[in-house]
Amino acid sequence: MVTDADSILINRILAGEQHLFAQLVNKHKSYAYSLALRIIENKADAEEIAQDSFIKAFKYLASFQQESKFSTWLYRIVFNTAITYKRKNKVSWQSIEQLQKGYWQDDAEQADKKKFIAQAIHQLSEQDQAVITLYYMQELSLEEMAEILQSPANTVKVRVHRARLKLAEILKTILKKEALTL
Amino acid sequence: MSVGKNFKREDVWRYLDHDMSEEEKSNFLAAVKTDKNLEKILEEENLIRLHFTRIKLSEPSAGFTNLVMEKIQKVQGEFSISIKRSMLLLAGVLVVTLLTAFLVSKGIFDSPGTIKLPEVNPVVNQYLPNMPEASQFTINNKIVVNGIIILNLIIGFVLLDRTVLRPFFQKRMRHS
Repeated sequence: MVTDADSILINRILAGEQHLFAQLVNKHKSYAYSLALRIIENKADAEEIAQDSFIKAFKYLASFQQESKFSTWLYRIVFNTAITYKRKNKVSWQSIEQLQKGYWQDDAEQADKKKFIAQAIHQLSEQDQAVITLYYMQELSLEEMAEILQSPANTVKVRVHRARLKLAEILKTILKKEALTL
Repeated sequence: MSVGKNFKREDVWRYLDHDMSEEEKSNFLAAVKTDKNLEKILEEENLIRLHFTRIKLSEPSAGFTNLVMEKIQKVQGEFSISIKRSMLLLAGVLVVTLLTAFLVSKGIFDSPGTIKLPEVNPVVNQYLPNMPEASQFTINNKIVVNGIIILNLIIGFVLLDRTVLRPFFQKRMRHS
């Protein structure tokens, strides 16, 4: 059983101090929202998914065994909610570009490359995109990623490796095509 | 996948993931200075990393936490039953069950009941004066009442589990 600040808060929430759940939301909202945003690629939908995930977490808090970190459990909920949403509603390519405008307004020199990277990521399979997103978001260990993806750690490691290779190959193809059109 | 004279793309990842020893790192950086292709790959991989790490800093709207808490309160209001109310419900179910069982044991429902459609609805008699025998239904009242008692007991057990036993054992588990 994990005994950290989250665990203490969870025990108090389950004992009746439900208002303390706001502290858990405040602590994990950025990461939960960012993970949803990376998968859904639409700010409004990502916020809705992050909110729904917190509500689900609250609803099933009593069934959370506390053998893993609360954050890992929450991210699994966010991940599953976002993937389910994405399967139901197809997100358009334009939304990715809109998203880019939001966080890449810096140097114009690399703008093209960034656009190609976004294109390459979008060409990856849903699973590869998810694996690579979790990997690069860096806060998670391989074991935590394995728990979120519900796969053994070794499988996740191989999947990350393959997804990175695929991304590199797609990017290479895109850059080659662009070079030919110049 | 080879990207330079002595280095593979995996080495670029290892460098970016901080998985290289100091010696490997200095060899790699020296190679980057002389190998344009390796430098290009490093730049690309670094941009990919930035693509994800920058998005990590995204913040939801300012009222996010309040919205979540409001939604939680709404959901709770819709589905939860207070302990006091659930105990009252449980007592009600128990009283009805006991009362019905008592009446069954006293033989109140022993005689079979008959439903005649023309008597139930006079309109039927008006349009179909010669109704066949099939329009009469005989009901075994005892079986119906026993069914209601069983249904009541099932509802009682579900209520007992959801509102009393489950919260009690969850509380005990948390304190153990």
